[in-house]
Amino acid sequence: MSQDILIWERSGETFVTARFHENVTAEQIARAELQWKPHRIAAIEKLISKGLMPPEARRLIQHSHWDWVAKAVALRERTLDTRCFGIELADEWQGLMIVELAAHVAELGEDRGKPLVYIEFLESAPWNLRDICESPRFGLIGMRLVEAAVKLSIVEGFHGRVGLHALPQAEPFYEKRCLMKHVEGAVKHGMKYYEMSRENAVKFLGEGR
Amino acid sequence: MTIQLSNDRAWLERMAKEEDYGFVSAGGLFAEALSQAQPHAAGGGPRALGRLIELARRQKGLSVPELAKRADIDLADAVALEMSGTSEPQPRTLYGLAKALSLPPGGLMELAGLVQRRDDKLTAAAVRFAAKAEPMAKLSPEERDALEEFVRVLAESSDRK
Repeated sequence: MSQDILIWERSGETFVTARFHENVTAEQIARAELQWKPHRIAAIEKLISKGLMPPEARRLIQHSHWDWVAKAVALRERTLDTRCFGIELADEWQGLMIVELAAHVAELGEDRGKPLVYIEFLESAPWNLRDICESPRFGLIGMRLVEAAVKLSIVEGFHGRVGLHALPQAEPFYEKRCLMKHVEGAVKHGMKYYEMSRENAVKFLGEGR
Repeated sequence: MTIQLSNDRAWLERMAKEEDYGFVSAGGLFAEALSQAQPHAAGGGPRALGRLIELARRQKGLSVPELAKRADIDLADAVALEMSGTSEPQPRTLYGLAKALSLPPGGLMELAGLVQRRDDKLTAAAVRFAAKAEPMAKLSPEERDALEEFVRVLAESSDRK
């Protein structure tokens, strides 16, 4: 299943049409990894040649050590409640997301203990990030994937509840842009847990703003 | 069951501005990889390993890309190892680095947690070394002393195996 969606092209300051895929395969994820890896390495090399050190380089390293392929295969073998989504344009993968529907429950307020969509994994292609690429190409990748997670949550009857553990550099994005609330005490290996309530899901989707 | 994403251009334009090409990465999977990378390392291991590689490289006057080339390893792996020690070094990577930097491969393996045997003396030396070494451009006399002492302990640890 797939559909046309709009993403933002920086160079033309305009929308372009990309393809949103709901059932990305392990083979497609492997292809994305092949497309992304040289860009990550080139970015690291460039920073090193400029004499740049942490935090920039550390961010890049964090970004480059996700073993998408092995994890995607393992996840899909583990449970049928795992779904992989992706955004494709110009024969390139612009962003990927893996979600789980059964392994986590909400922590916030009255919905505590109720099911939610948990984002196991979300990443935008390295050429779309201003910390990696001087001229990022496409915007909205993270937003469209989060939007998909929220809408999946609604379709599944979870009322838009979404949870995830964010990398430190992405915390502002989830807290300020996606209206997700930091939940104390739910740290996973140093990564903070953020959750979108059903009320903020409505706001995020633009229906309450 | 399919989901329908928005085509509301006003909402999307606002969202594009808010995202602003910043980092959006999320994932417990990354954290899992981190946790799997470190459980067996000697005390101070990841940090000490990174510092050891960095100082040994600088002592030889090599840049990180030059080291990666000489060790025949991925540049990203070399940077990750040196900076945080949080990557998952493969034995081949460590052997390449050991050869390029004239370090004992067995000690590097133990420091990285790739072999199970613990060595209290190595652990203590690793902690001392990790605490002393700083990522400056040029080796100070103290750093040189720390490097030499640590390599000596590392070599002794390898010899006892």
